[in-house]
Amino acid sequence: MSLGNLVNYYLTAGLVGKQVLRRQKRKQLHKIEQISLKGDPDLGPPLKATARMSELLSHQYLKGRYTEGVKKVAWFSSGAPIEILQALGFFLYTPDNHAALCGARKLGVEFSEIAESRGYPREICSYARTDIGSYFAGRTPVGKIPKPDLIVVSNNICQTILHWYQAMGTYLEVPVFLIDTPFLFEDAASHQIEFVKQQLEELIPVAERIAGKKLDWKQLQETCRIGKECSDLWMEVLQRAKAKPSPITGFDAFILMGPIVALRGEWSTAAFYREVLDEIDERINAGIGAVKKEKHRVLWDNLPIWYNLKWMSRKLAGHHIAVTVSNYTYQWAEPARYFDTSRPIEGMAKTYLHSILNRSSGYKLNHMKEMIAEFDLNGVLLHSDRSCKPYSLGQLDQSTKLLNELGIPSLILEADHNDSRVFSEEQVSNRLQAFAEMMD
Amino acid sequence: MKIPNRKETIEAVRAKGYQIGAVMPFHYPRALLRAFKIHPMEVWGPPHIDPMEGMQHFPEYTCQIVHKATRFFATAAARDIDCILIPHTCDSLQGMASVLKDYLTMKQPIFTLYHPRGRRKSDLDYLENELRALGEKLREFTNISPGNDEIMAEIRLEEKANKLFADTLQHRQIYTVSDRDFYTTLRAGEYLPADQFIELVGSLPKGRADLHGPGLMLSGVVPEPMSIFDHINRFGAHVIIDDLACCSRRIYEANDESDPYRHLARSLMSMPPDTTISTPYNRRFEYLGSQMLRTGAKGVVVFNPKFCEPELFYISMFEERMKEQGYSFLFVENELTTELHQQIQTRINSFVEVMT
Repeated sequence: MSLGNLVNYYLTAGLVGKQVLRRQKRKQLHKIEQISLKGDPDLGPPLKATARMSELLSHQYLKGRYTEGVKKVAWFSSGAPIEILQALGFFLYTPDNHAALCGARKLGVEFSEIAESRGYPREICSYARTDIGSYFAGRTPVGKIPKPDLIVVSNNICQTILHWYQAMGTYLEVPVFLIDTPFLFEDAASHQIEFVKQQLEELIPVAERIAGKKLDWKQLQETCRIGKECSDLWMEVLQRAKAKPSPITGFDAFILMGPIVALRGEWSTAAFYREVLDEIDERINAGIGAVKKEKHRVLWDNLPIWYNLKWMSRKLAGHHIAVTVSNYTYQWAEPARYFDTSRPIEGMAKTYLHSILNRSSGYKLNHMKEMIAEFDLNGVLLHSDRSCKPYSLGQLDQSTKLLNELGIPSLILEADHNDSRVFSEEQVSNRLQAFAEMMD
Repeated sequence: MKIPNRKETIEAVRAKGYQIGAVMPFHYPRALLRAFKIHPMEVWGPPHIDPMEGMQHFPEYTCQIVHKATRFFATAAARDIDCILIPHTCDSLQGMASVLKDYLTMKQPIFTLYHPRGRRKSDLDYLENELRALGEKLREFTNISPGNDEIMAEIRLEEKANKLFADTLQHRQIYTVSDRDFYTTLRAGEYLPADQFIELVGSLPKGRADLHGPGLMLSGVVPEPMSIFDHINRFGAHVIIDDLACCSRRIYEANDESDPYRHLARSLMSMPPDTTISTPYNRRFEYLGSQMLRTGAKGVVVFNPKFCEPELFYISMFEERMKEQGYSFLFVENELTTELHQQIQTRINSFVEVMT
């Protein structure tokens, strides 16, 4: 660790960076206030918390620019257990979040095309193409991505992620550690939990060697405790959507989930979600809805369409439809009940094994049914995401079951979370209108 | 020697008291099923099935193996099946297993098997336990409780068949049959009992094979339609080695574990580097490079059903590495049709012409 790097890290990313980001936050808050004052015919005022969230995530990316030579860097997949790495002091970065950010900034196609020109077919996940394309281009909207010393990937969200991370590991010549989570058709069997536990135990010496220090178990327990608290708070945020009118939409949740994905286990994340809760509670008390004339409350199934979040949000609000809940965002809330700070490794094994994306289509359907009852929903939007087979396979049957068993209509929207080339605004617009008429 | 077809095989094994287990691709413990008196018959499509029924359950961006197999399970022909085993090979087969278990009213029980992606001690321990769990489910289903010796006897027989399978695949040049006949014979192992398979492969005529033009490696999942071999031969090349999921990626090594479950786990984990597990890219390319060198192959044809994500991820680096080593490379996707599309024929023709 060189003194120059250290000074740069604490001075530029720490002191100066914080000031700059605070100023940006103030500007963003001002903008939000202006929008709120001006008013929107269909949408409620934007959440001020988004400005704080930008500050939080931007600060993480800023630190990433200066972290090489100061901290060891680990890349992790969004569903991977990070507590061991966090307790060992790694700087953490998740390519999934980066890919989503690129999607939201409408860079998905540009980067995907670069990956495609290097032989990655259009049929593979657009997150992977976006991220690999960004690597080949040597460009990123976050300035600079720190080179990893270790990559930790877990397939509890899909198998695709293994291939994507293995590819990056090969290009960067960095070891890839896999946390393999057997897919659960039922609740986890003891040998499945034991398997994940064993792998976590195998990760410890690997991570210790790279970090150059021993794992402090008290620190690990503390990290798990904070992580659980963050997840519990995130769950509370999502549950507030039960209020009528709903103070937030699933689209807000897609935006606000950034810290729980990338920075869980940090006090700043817990503090952030407390702020979010305060703001939401103010809205509930004032009867402010995220959609002004909320008439229909629906569930969004699958990943968001990142490049069209605003458009989709407006379009639905125009039909008085509030996307009240998104089951995808529960991925980082629901399984946290398994965290056990007294037995952190076993708790982590259970938590990460029971990820919603690692569960059967029937489980997801039952989860949807519970949400329909709890949130008083009257429709479901099933995003048939070309880039996410594990989520999308089964939706055709889910749609039939929802109608036959609950009388709940659903709409299957064909799109892709990052690749706008397979999205037709006109077609989706017509279908949304028909869906709204069906629910009226 | 005439190759018995699937129907004849079903009748013959039923007469011996076996139930029929349909097995989806592609790593699974044959010996374990046989020990429970379940005869495995693999389902790789099938190509002649209209995938429309499958389209009711899966979006079009799902591979045709899933579409067609789902449709097949709904047909009258599937009445002969007593149970279904779906190994967790990829996201698509995972989805298929889920849809079959959760939504379709299947008369047959659906068993699943999760093959670990790593190659560590924890993976071996897990697979052993996973196989035990499967064994327990098979015991409940069949009411049969084979002892360790019985399972080991099946393992030995399957290992004998697998060794012959491996030796034959690796010495293509000494068999005087066409590529299509060669692979049709070897693929009969997808449904024949091991003893019959051994006899069949043993009858392949040996001598100086009449192999024309450059030798190719055929990579991919499954060579359907099988007429791809005819076209490769017709255009003046031959397949000297393969890297097919249904063939060479299922060469398992024998081991000396005395516990049958441990033995099976170790064996299943010994397969060559594969796209469906977390094989580091470099290890797979080194292995394939060594196979190219050993056989003197001049080029690679990757032939895959559409939307096979595990395969697609490897394509870019595979092509790059092979070309760096001076090999020609062709990637084609097919929709698991009964005949090879004219466009694909043309591409193969041009590829072979360029090579020669």
